Amino acid sequence: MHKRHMIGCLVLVLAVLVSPQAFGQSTTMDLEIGYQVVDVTGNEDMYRTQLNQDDGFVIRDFSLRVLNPEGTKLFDRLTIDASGFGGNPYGHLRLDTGLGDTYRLHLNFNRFESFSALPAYANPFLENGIVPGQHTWERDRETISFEVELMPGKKFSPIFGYIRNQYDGPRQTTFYEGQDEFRLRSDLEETEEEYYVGVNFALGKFAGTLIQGWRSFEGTEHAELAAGAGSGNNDYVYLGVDPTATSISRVSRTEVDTPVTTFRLTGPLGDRVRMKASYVRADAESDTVLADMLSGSLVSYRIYRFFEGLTDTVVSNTDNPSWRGDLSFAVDLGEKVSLDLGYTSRHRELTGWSLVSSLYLDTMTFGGIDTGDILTLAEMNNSMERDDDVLDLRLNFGKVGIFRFWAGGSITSTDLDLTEDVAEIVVQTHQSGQFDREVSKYFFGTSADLGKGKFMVDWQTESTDDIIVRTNFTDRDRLRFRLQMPFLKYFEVLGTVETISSDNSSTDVGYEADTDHYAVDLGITPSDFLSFHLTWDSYETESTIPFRDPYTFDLSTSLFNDEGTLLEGSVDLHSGRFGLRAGYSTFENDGSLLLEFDRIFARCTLELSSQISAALEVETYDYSEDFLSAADFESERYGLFFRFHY
Amino acid sequence: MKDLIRCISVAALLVLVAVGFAWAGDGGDDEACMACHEDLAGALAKTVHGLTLRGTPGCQDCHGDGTAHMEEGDPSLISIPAGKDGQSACLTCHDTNMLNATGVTSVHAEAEIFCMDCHSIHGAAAESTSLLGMCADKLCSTCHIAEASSFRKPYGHRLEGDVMNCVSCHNPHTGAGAKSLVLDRSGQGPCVTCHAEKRGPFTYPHVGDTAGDCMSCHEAHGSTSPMALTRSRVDQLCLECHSPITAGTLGSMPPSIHELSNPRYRNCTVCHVAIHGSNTSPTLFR
Repeated sequence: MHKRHMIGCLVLVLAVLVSPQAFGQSTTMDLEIGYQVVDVTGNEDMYRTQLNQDDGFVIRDFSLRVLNPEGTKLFDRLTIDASGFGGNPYGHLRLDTGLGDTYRLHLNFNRFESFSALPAYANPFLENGIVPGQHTWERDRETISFEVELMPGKKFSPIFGYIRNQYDGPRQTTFYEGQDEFRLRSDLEETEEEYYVGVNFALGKFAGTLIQGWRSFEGTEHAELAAGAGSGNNDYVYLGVDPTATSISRVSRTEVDTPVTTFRLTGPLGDRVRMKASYVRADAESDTVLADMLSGSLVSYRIYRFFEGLTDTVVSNTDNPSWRGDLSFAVDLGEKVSLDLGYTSRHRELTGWSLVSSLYLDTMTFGGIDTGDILTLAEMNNSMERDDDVLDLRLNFGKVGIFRFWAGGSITSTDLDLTEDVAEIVVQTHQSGQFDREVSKYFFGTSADLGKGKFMVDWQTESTDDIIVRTNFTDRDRLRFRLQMPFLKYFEVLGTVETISSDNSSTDVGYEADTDHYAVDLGITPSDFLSFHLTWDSYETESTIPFRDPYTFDLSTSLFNDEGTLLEGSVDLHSGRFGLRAGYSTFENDGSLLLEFDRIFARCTLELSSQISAALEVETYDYSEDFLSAADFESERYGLFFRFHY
Repeated sequence: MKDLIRCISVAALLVLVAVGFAWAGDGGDDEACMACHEDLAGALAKTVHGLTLRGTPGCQDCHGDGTAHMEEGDPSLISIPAGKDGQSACLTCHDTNMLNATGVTSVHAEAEIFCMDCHSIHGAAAESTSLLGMCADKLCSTCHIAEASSFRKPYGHRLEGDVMNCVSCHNPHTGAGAKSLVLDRSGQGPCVTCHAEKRGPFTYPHVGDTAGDCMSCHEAHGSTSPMALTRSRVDQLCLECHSPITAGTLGSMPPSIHELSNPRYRNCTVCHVAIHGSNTSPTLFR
């Protein structure tokens, strides 16, 4: 529970509640706030990873709208929205205000509680029944964005703003050193900030934006050996030594500075052409300093020694200039035909180096000779250059009878050049090289106006001349249907079918992936106060690709299969002062990871007066896996909420 | 935090200066319409379009000249914006869409999904800054039911009202597929807008912006696999690329010390922890 946020919101809400008339002519305010309790049985970590609701106060909804057409010299509109916080892992606060063509102000705050403790992820001891895995975290992310535009709608409107994204909290991770893996407890704080100034302009028929921003990132991590983790994950004994660590500490700090320039322009070129262009340039430079200090009884095949301590210092620097340009035209070719033509070019370079200074303490050869301390230095370099060019075209044909048509295509070219340093090579070959790939895409679609309904078909095919990584396709086809149709007065059906087929049939790859997805939604509205919804969604994804076992070098096949089925039903009832919204959904996967995920939800509302209503919420989840019962959980959430409306 | 306070203070000062030059608008001339259409005018008054006294649109800006309609009382003599004509009325003012510069026209409009199909000018406007008829995620799911169903899977993003919804990542006013993604000012996709620590640049990058992107390994809408991965087993995901049977593809093969017949070693990320990229380890160990 993060009290300062909750208290801040409550203060804001109370301030608004006690003076709704202070704002002028048109003020509407809705506040729904309440308290919820959550009960979890089974794997609570899994529940928190997936859902993470908690006991506590929750702002279900807050919205304040003030419109003051006559103006107050301060603002003529004010909107404040808030939701979440407290027992909800998400929180949101937004403020929009402005005064005619004097200014506009936008403030946005989001908060996310992020938790992960999975039983089967990064868990070397799952077979022994030990959960969760060794990579867990409990972190908070807060984002703030703030922007002011002065003289909006004028020829030149200055804008300036600020963005902040902070991510911090503890985590558990691992560190591979000395022929063993050790669990580390770590505290991490990462902050990205950006200040920007610029101008929106409207010159004649052209409008645009020019913004210069300065983005910076700072990340600091302090890590140390987790309690009881000194013996490492491995129980192998290397030449009579079972690697152990008595202490590990790490301090790392990364700073990134990125000036960002953005230019956008749009406007008509004659009566029939509308142009849109943009250019973005970002030059990022990153610096990292890391220091690891270990002590214990460890083994290194790098220096062919036993050692009892290590001081590892890494200094690195990365330059990453990039730019992106877009130019597109919408051309009116007559009453029935229009053309969209676009070109995008993107360039990205990366040049990085790191200097690793490793001081091995109290080393001893495998033969037992004391060799004292050994210092090794390694400088490693890395570089990359990537260019992407996309040319696309789309023709839209107006109504011919009940039909509309569209067709088009695109060509995407990628040039990727990777260079590796000799010192970087861990396993020779395939970590660098020059790669060119061109993807050609063609599509065609039609929609039919069926009176109150609509039907749409969309087909797309892509082919390439080469691949960069093995899972790239050489051919991919997609076909989609959508039908929306009301019938028998009370019914409306919406159905979609989508099939995607990707492959690389060359004999030395043999990659194949197919997805079939069907979904039907049936709405039944027998009266204005009663409606039902039924949804059935079924999909099957299957992919196969051969790979070589690294331990036998035999060829095997990687087969992945997902067969999901969702059934969902809900009812909405509003009768006088009483309202009910309830639903049930069950999702089942019969693919590679057999699981079932069910949800029951009900919300009853009762109007106590024209301005106050009460709501009772019940929500249950039931998650179960066929082959890992340690992952299962059941949860119940009960909430009582009150809504105030002015 | 000091920087933030400083920034807000400067902004507040500038706003105050601007307010000092505040301009007083002319009165509106919609009283004649309101005489009969009090309910519609009342609903509109609660929206940002209700600021008619400050020069935002009045009734006739969208409905056209109402003189004949007022004189005859014939409903057919007034324009009720809908469909493509309705869109034209909106575009009279909202003719630029500067959120995303990857496309000129909206793929929705080309499929005959026009402004009024999503935006409610007189209706539920008081509930929404964007005049949407309902919350964005619910609105999108009325057509995109398969995508909406994906969010019922156990792993992935949870749609949570205004905190996170479809328009957090997609701009419905631009193109289809990848063109619908909301780019930030540096031209990067929506993932790193929140997951800023994955933006890099990394001295030793992996997948992102080299040979792929976030979607090479993750399913954004929802997944049955932990960490919203595209495969249920991590080693399977890794080895599909890192097994260069094919000549000329990128990605080396793990050395033989990776004895994957033992489930204990099928967790590649136990050692390769910096899987999104590292500044200090080419093998992504830290």
